[in-house]
Amino acid sequence: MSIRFTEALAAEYSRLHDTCEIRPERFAVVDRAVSAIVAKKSRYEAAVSGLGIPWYFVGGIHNLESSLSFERHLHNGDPLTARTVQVPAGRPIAGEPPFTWEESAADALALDRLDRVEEWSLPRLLYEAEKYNGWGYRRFHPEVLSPYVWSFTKHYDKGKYVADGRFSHTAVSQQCGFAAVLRRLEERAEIPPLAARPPSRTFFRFSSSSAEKPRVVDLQRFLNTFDGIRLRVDGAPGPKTSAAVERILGSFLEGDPRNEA
Amino acid sequence: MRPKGRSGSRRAAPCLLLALAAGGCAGPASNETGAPAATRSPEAAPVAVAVDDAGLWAATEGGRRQLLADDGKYYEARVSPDGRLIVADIALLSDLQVVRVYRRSRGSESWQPAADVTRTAWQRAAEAHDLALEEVSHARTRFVAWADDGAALELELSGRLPDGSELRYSQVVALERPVDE
Repeated sequence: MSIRFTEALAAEYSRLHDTCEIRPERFAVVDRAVSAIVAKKSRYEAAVSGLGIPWYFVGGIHNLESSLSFERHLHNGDPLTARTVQVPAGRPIAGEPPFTWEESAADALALDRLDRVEEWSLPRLLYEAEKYNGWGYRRFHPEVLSPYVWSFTKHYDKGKYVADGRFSHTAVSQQCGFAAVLRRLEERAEIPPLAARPPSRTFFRFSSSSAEKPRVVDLQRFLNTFDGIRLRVDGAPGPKTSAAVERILGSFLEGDPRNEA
Repeated sequence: MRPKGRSGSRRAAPCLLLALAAGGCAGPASNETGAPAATRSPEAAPVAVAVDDAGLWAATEGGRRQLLADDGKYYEARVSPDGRLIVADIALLSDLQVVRVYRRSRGSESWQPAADVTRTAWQRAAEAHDLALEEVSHARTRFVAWADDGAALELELSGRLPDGSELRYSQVVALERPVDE
């Protein structure tokens, strides 16, 4: 049973990413993992060639599934010298063992239909990572954010499934979560900053409704801190407010016809 | 040793009928790992196991279906030679695999969870290796073979320990006989 990628879920992932901090006591481990992933970037790029999957998605998954070993199947950590015996068993179906890591990884990614993902936004990256691991935490223990994604960040403290399949409220994941890797990759500028969410295009619209008045008031007060801008703080995003926004940010408020001129 | 019985496994999503009838029915088993060896059991109706997006199903004659599990990512299921047990390898998470056993009692078409063989096996492993289950990552429990004429299962346990070493452990776990036998 899967969980659909909805706008609400995307917003949740974005919010979590916005507030994601790597735990200081785990920082060195995360940084080492990121260095190891970056060092093998060419192999990850080869594995996702033609699939449209970001190389760093595979790097983060590889770290979690196989501790960055290139001698094991990405599906489940079985050795590449034979087809998988753990579930999913008998993979890859095509070809003959021993498999290259790239062959196996491409099979694992296609098996999970990751090659069909059309847009790899930040929330989608986090969604697909959690999905790759499975929905057990979200479905049965929503009080704990999946350690597969959030371990080693301040969003995860404790709680995990243990060897016999039971959930322990006290067990602590010792793995570097996917989001920690992603965050550190961004911080090191190894990948472009990922958009936590699409730009808010309707936040300050020209002639907004009164429902947005408090935010517009904040905006006008902010604009008034710039030299030469003197707006009446009335919560109404009219032509003068829009002109002040244009002066500071280079474009008028959305919906202002002067943007079309 | 190759497992007896017939098996079915799961791709990520498509609706597939993967395995097969037991209770002496002939017919092809679609499987990737097992070799068929069903024996006739006059009391047990034929059963098939199937996997689709909803989870792991048992289907018996007359079109009766029962959802056995819906909490896995991947499933690999087999019917016992006498058709009264289903054993399933279930990847609850990509890094956690368990074995579950389902049994139907005489005269019943309803499947019930049987012994918690995964828990039993890991408790024994923890005692044998003096380890805490919380320390093991990537824990995987896998069905290997029927043993003792279907009264027990041979399981393989594997996982990673905190020092980076690998744990691999095989054992036979007996199944309790139901009260109606």
